[in-house]
Amino acid sequence: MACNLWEEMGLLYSSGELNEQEGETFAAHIRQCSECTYEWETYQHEREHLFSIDILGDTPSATCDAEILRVCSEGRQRVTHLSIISLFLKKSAISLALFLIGFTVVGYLVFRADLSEEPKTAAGTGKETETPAQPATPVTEAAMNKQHDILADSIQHDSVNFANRRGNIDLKGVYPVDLQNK
Amino acid sequence: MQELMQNNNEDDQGAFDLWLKGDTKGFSTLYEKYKNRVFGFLIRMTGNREIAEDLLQETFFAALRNADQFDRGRSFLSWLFGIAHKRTIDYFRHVKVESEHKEDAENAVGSRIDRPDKELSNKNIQAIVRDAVAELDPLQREVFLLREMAGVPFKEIAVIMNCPINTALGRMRLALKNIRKELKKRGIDGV
Repeated sequence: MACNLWEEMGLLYSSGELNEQEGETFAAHIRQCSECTYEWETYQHEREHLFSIDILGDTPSATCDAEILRVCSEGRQRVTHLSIISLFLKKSAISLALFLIGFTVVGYLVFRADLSEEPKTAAGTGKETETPAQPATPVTEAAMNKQHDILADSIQHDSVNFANRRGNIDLKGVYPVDLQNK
Repeated sequence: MQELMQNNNEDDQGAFDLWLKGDTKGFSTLYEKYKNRVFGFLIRMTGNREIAEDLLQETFFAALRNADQFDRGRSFLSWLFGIAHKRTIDYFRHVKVESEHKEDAENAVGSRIDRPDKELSNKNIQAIVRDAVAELDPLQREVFLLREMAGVPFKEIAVIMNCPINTALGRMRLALKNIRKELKKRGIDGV
């Protein structure tokens, strides 16, 4: 191929991407150059008869058509202002309903738990009242002394326990250092 | 011819505006007008009808989602084919990940057929041309289809395919050369 102008400009000329001046110059060249004329005619013929939509195009199935038309038509309608508000309200209503249902269920469960605890305490107090009163026994001096000893023992025991506990805490460094020395 | 294209663009933009306003007629006009081209592009690229239908749906759904990003300076068809190109790339990436070691090159071109030479009826010409296109290197095929089916200018093809304009032109030249060679082999001469 002696002329390589087609290689450089032919495709851009055919797609209309040359500027006006370049286009005119190239059109004039095509009329004069037999090689470029041949290339141009061949390409035009191919585009018309071989590369047409009838040859290269295809038709999707009716199901596919219907699905695309359905989704795209509905989808675009949803984007309009009024439909955004209605969508927002719809979603808010659903959220509110779910919240109320949840709140009611939790409230009911708490209420049931309270009810189930009440009879127990009622039964406890009932038992206490139901137990027959012990006959009053005369309190002797020896018994009183014994009770006093028991009380004193328990106080001492508690204070020892407390001291031990404090000691333990002390060891862990909870108390100030000067207390530790004491 | 350019006036015709400009009128076409104006019609498309009118239909597109209707669609944006929620008028279903706007969308169905555009869909009916371009579905065969886009589907043809997808089926030629993937070679599988079912996949092409899935990608067609994805293309139009993506157009729906990104309708607000449509640049009025471009033609609607270029924009739509840009989306179809992205869907195709995503599909091929997915296929590559799924079957990296499978030799599915043969199956990938489902429409490829080895027909015995018969009388060149329209159906046969169609099949031969489709075969010749299927034989192309994927990058050449894509430039060819974007140019011939969507009428996308080379400047935009370069943007869509993220390559210099000269690369797009080079691929187109090679595509035409290879198609002609293949057609000649099967008994069809350009002119």
